[in-house]
Amino acid sequence: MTQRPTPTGKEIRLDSKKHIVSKTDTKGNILYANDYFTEVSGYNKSELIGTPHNILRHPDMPKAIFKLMWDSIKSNQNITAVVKNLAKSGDHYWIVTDFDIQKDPNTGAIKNYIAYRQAASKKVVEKIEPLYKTLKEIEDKHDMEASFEYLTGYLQEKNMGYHQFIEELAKPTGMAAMFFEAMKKLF
Amino acid sequence: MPKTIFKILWDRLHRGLPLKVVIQNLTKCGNHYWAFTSIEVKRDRDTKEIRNFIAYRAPINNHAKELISTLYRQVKEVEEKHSLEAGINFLHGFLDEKRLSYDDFMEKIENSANERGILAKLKNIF
Repeated sequence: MTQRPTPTGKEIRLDSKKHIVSKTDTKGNILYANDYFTEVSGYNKSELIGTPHNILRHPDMPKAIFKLMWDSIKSNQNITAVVKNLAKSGDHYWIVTDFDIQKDPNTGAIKNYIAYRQAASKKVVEKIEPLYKTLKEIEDKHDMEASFEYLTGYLQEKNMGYHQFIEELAKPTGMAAMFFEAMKKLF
Repeated sequence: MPKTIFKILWDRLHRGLPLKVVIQNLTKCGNHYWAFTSIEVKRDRDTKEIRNFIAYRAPINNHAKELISTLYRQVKEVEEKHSLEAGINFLHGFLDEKRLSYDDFMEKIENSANERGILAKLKNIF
């Protein structure tokens, strides 16, 4: 595994109008990264290609969230997730991620994941950060199973799935939502 | 020019499928020119075997040139630092990001002269 940078604790402010886009194989190895991805992460395209996506994993992130994400997309379900990523410089950035799942037209087997990420708003980060901190603490003192259970309980209390919980928190509304959709299709 | 583009081009043509492709060509004196190239497949009337390929070349506008040359530069870098396969994957990723097939993309390039005004305006919004 590649040596990850040491976190600086400094946040990179993202342009809320831009998407960080990548395509990976089913194991999470990067096949494609767009310009904004390289700009924000500080890795150039050649460094990213062929590298597992977890090169960007921030040590503050609870494993339970990645388990949730992988479980979902592996079963062909898109998921909106909030993630804190680690740039090459050690700085971090918060994003909301969305997936396109590509399947082999003949076999129907999942072939690739395309992830579209946008800046997570302050409001979302303020809500999520304490939850992730708790999950991470549980993981460190116990294990991921325990933090996963905690997360499940937390969501049950709210009567929501994670996906729904995040969508409620993060979804752009009204005109903004229309523009984001249009932008994804924009050439 | 990235090898990826020629790989895609010949794979398509040998399967008997026409295609459109942007190519930067080199003249004898070392200058270059960008050509929007449409290639047709000609078959033998009786045996249906592929006989010839006919290419029609037209100029492209600056907007398309800028977009394509940036893309080709990136694909070429990936190809050189990794492999031809990585170059092909990268190109497909670029198209997937835009949710376009290769043919849709070429069509957009071909039509970009007309769309340029609208696209530029939309891009400025974001």
